This record gives sequence, C-alpha cells and structure tokens, in this order.
Amino acid sequence: MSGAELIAVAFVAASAGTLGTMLGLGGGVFLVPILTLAFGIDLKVAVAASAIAIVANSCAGSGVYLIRRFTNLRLALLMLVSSTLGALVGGLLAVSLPEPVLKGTFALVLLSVAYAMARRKPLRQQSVDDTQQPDPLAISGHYYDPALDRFVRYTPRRLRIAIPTSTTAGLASGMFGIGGGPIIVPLMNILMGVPLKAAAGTSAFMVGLTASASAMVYYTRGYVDPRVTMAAVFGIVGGAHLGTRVASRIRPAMLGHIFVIVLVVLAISMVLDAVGVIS
Amino acid sequence: MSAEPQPHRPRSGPGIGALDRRVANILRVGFVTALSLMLAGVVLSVLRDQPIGDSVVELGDLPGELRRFNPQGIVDLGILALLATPLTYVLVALGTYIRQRDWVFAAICCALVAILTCSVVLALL
Repeated sequence: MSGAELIAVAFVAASAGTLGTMLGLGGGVFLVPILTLAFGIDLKVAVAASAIAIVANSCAGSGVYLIRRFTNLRLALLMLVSSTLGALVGGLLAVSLPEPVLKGTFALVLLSVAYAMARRKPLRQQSVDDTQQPDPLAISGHYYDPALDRFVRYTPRRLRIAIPTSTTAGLASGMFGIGGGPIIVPLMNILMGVPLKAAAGTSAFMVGLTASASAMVYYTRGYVDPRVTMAAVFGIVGGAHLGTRVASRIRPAMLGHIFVIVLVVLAISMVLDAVGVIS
Repeated sequence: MSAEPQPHRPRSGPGIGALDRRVANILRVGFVTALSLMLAGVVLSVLRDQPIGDSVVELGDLPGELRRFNPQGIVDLGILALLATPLTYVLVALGTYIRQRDWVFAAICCALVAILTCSVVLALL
C-alpha cells in the first residue's frame, strides 16, 4: 500500500470517526466496509485496524468522562465481563470463518444497524430519581449536569437484561470491529434507566476494553497491518474529536436518514463482494 | 429481633472517586505513550529509510527488534501499549478493590484479567 493510499485511509477513517460520533454509532461501522470495498483490504485486517482504533478512541475520550462521573466505573466493570467474553468469542470465530461468510454476516449486521437507526426512538435525557430502590452491588451513580445545573442521581435496574445484551454487543465488536455503543447505550438508557450522559460515558469506556480482547486475537494471529492500523487510529481519534464539536450544530434526524441509505448501500456492496460480483 | 441482611457496599466511599481518577490517568498515559511510540517509529523509519512492513513482528522477536531500534518494532510496541492499557487499569482496579475488601468487584476484575489473558493464550494455540 502506497503512502498516498495510507493518507486516503486516514482521511476515510477521520470521516468515519466524525460521522460515527455524530450518529452515536462509532467509526467502525463505516470504516470496515469502506476499507474492504474501496481499498481491497482483507476484512480481518480491516476489523483488526478498526478494533485497535476503537481502543485508542476510548482511551482518548474516557478520561474526561471518568473525571466528570459520566462513566459509572462499577457498572462498566460488571457489564464488561460478558461483553469482553463476547468479544473474545467473536474474535476467535472471525479468524476461523471463511471471508465470504464473514462478509455476508457483516452485511446482515449493517442492515440491522440501518433498520435500528431508521426505527429508533429518541433516548431519554435523564432517568427518574429512583435511588430509593435496592442497590445490592452499589452501582448507583451521580454526576453534575451543567445543562440542568444540578446533580443527577440514578440506580441502574434490570441487571439480568444487561448480561445477554452486552454479550451480543461484545460479539459484534469482536467479529466486525464496530464497537458496542449502538447496542449498549439504548440498553442502558431505555431498559436500565441510566441517564443518557451516563449511558454514553459508560459505553465509551466499555468499548475500549471490549475491543482490546478481540484486537489481541487479531494481533497474535497476524491480522494487524501496522500501517493501516496507524492510519485508522490517527484518523478515527481526530475524526471523533471533530465529531463531538460539530454534532450539536447538525440536525441528527436528517443525517440519520442519509446514513441509513449509506449503510444499506454498503451492505449490498458487501454481499456482492462476498459472492464475487464485484471485487 | 434478627438483623436485616445489609446490602454489599465498599468500605470506603471516597476511594471510588480516587479509583476513577487513577483509571483516567492510566488511560491518558497509555494513549499518549502508545501514540508517541507509533509516531517515533514512523519518524525513525523515514530517517533510516526502513519502511514499515504490512504485518507485525512476532511477539517472541519483538525484544530483539527493540534492541536494534528497528522502527517496525517501535510501532508494534506502540500498538501493544495501546492494547495493554485496558488490562493495566483492570489490574489497578483489582488492587484497589482488594484493599477495600470489596470482594465482589475484586472477583469481577479477576474474571476480566482471566478473559484478557485467554485472548492472548487462545489466539496462540
């Protein structure tokens, strides 16, 4: 791969990082199919690069969330057991599956994300104050919300739902390098009653450790291309930084509709690539 | 009158905040170290006219490549530093929870360390 192609990869990664952050999907959902379809990079190499970029992005952003208490560390560690296990299984599964099967499955995942985006309901900005309910694991959290100018307190509910859902998020992260944010944030917000800022902060923290489990599998099996990985890391981190700054100035509904179409086109292209119609 | 079962709580509340800060520092240091190593590797590869290859050096060969200041080895070390950052904060959290005698969360951290170790061991099999 030439220097010019690597710069193009970094540019694509930056665009994917910006758009992914604006839509709350993470950059991998766009980066992996584009690397595979436009640059002809092996899917497993693209997934490895994306997984490592997710770790970098999580490390870069989560520190601030922890200090502001948007990340609930105890809740994150609890859910990480199942999501990391899912990522490990997903990574091992991905390195042993034939490329066309993996591409076909990825196309299905892209269509599912597109469907979920088209149908998604607005998330709740804050939960009801339910700190009176039992909290045997001491996972209740609180943070100062500058927009509300007050402390928000919450106690996550329905922990049993969290285990299978975070395992699924980990599996998707391990197999396709797409992070688990699109699954974990709505789960925490809608089903577990975690306020949106805390759900987003906790998820941003979780995806780093989850992706590191599968990234180690790709690393030891030789699927990490350092040049593509560096381009993806610098691109995604820079793009995500830009995405957080411009997100508030864009109408998310309109943007969401455009990217549902983009995801469907990428999914169809992936299927055509898997069956050898395009290459 | 029998005492009601007490909910499990860590012994030290303020310690949790200290752990948050420690984890945030580990993330920051890990990220800066990893990206600095990657950049140093790229700069060295340009200065020495030794291009970075399309695959990582095998883990067993990495110490030797680092002793030779091979740019490829330095970039790979940067990638590994990034991947080791989450494991580092889990180990620090484990130590904190053991000190606080918060056995449930110490066990959770042990499980995470075991899964992350398995990710390397299983991939090598």
